[in-house]
Amino acid sequence: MRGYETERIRYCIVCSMDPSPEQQGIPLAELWPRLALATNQGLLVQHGTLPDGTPRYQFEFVDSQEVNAYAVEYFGVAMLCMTIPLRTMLWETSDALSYNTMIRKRFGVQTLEHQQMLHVEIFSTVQGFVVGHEYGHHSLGHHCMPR
Amino acid sequence: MTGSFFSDLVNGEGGSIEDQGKEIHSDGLSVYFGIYGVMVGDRRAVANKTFGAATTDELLLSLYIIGVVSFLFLRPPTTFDPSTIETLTHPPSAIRLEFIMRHLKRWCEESRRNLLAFLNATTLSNESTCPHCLRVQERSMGRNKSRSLNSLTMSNELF
Repeated sequence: MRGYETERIRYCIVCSMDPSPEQQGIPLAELWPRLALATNQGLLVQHGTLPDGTPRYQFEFVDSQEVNAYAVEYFGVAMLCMTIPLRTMLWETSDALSYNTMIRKRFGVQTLEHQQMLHVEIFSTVQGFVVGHEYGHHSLGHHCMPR
Repeated sequence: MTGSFFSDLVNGEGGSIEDQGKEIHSDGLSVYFGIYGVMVGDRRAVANKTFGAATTDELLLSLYIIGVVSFLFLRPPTTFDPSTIETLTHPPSAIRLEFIMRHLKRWCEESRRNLLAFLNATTLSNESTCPHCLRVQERSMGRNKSRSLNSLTMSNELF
């Protein structure tokens, strides 16, 4: 990664439920919890909570050595997990794609700010696909046949 | 902890054609949620701010396909042969992509017919006759028929 820990992402509104939709940029370290929070707010609105108040669905970035994503039921909570190595790999891949000449041309990228915005858009898209896939395992009842 | 554990990026042996059908099914649901979000939902407004006047349905479809493909091809392709392909936990990436594109095409047929020409011209080949695709499709269809949730209707219609 090219010094992202100190760069400021210029644009990172994940969805309308993002609690801080300012457009002045935020440190990268704040992006991850905001992404998780926005995803969890959407899941909470859609599925509510268990009788004890625990959300029925919960998304987490989890610490692991493995590049992977998981759907697992944890004491009645449908957990959607993306490991941090997978998140990093997707982030770096999205970054590389946002520098690709053909893709830059397709999306009209001309400035660093545009490139960073495209980077976040690609990442948000692929993260959404992964979360949606794990959500699918839960909502389609795939847990009835343990692997 | 209760329930089973779906591990979704590490592909290997120990799976079955039924497992592969589940993966295709989950991909399909994800596609329907994801493309709706990008084209119609919250992310459209975000994309409008990102890409400005250049934002079109075609551009957003391109964004979606680029994102999904980047996930499928993060890792080297799984090695398989006719004797092991049905023991994989996930279908090979090329087959997942085949079904993802079918889901996208179906969504466009239902909701954005203006994109069909773009989709057909740039991304879709003729319907696959790959034997393994047909086997996975058959398994997905069997499971879908046993479910009655309205939310699954969209995916059911694909097969």
